[in-house]
Amino acid sequence: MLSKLVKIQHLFIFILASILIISCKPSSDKQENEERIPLREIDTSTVLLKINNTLFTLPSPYQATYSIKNSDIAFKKSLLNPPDNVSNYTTNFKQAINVGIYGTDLGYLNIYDQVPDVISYFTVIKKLSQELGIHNAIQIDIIDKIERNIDNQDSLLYYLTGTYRQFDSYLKTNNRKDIGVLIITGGWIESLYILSHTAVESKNRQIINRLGEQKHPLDNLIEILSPYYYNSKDFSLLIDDLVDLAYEFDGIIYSYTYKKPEINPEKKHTLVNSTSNVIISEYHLKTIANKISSVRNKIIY
Amino acid sequence: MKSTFTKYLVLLIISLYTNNIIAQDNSVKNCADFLTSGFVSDGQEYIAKLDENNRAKFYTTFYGGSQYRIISCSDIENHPLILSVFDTEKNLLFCNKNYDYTPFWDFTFTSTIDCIIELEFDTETLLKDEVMLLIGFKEK
Repeated sequence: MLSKLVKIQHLFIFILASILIISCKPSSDKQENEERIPLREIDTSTVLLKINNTLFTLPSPYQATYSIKNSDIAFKKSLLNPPDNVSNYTTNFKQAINVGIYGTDLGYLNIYDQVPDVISYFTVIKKLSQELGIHNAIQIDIIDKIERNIDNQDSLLYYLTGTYRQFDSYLKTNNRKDIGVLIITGGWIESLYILSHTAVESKNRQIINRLGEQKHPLDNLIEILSPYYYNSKDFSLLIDDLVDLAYEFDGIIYSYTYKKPEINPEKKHTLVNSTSNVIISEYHLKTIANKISSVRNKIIY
Repeated sequence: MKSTFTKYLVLLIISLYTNNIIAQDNSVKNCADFLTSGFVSDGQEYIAKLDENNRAKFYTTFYGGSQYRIISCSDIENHPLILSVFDTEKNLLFCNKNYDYTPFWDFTFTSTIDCIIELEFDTETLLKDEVMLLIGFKEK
């Protein structure tokens, strides 16, 4: 009786284990017989990408504004694009690029806990995204979550960055990459504007360095934009202005020294110890600040 | 009898655990699920087609003093996705080959540096597909 019970128990465990192992195995046999359908159109938005399968990325504009707050520099509302300007934006070009600009402003306001202004800037972004027809990209519950967390700094940043990622994904999927590129461009231009003017006024070394570190992101931005050069006069003028700005960044001295990184497998973490140094003259600092103001003025007015 | 049962139970738990790790879902659709632990998206989804070497490259800048999570995703099964990070002098800063091809890894940069992230499949077969890279950051 006992041995029968043991046999039944072994059989039960064997069956259970088999079910579990089969259910965990990837369904490769099935997959091989099915034609693979990419989830979205492959991003071949740049000529360079087509040839080299290379993408150029930009750091989040919110990070630039974080560095200002971390340097204990006071909030300055006059640096932002007033929400009232929204009525000036009647073309898709201006609407898209200002979605990026207002997004960076909203990040800046959020970092400094400026709750009443956060609401008005979020309203403006919602309005522009509706006019661009990209509001459908955002899950409805995300808008609710943003509105519910308008006074919660961390949650708002999480949902806000998620929203811009959803815009990016939606525009790539729906073959409107030019709009996506303009949103990214607007975000970067606004962060450079805020950084450069804060650097000129505060003379804070960390902020000046962060400005100097925008050399490669600017090169990357030009790479991202260049396939759209002949899309419209607005695009070509914008790219020409950014190329002109890049010449000023060429005057910045950047040095790099490799040091062995430290890897912590338990924490899945690498500490990159390599160091870099930026040397930027007062002349270049002021010239960059003036040039980025001029580029931004063409966009926001 | 009790000890045999316990032995099977332990084996079962180990099997379940191992399978769970292997089945860590880094499909393109679920890529953003790895944006946890306080990391927020940089606002973009980087999707690239693989070249003839089954490789895609991403040029990026990481700010000093910031923490980042790099996430690599693909819908290609049966081939592990290799995630490597180099500096612009081609010094290898990290490769997931030695860490069970984990789809994500965290980084802290002491200085701002420009990097090249490579996503690659180590196979002779030409894989005409796409890979996705997500970058999350954390400032605090």
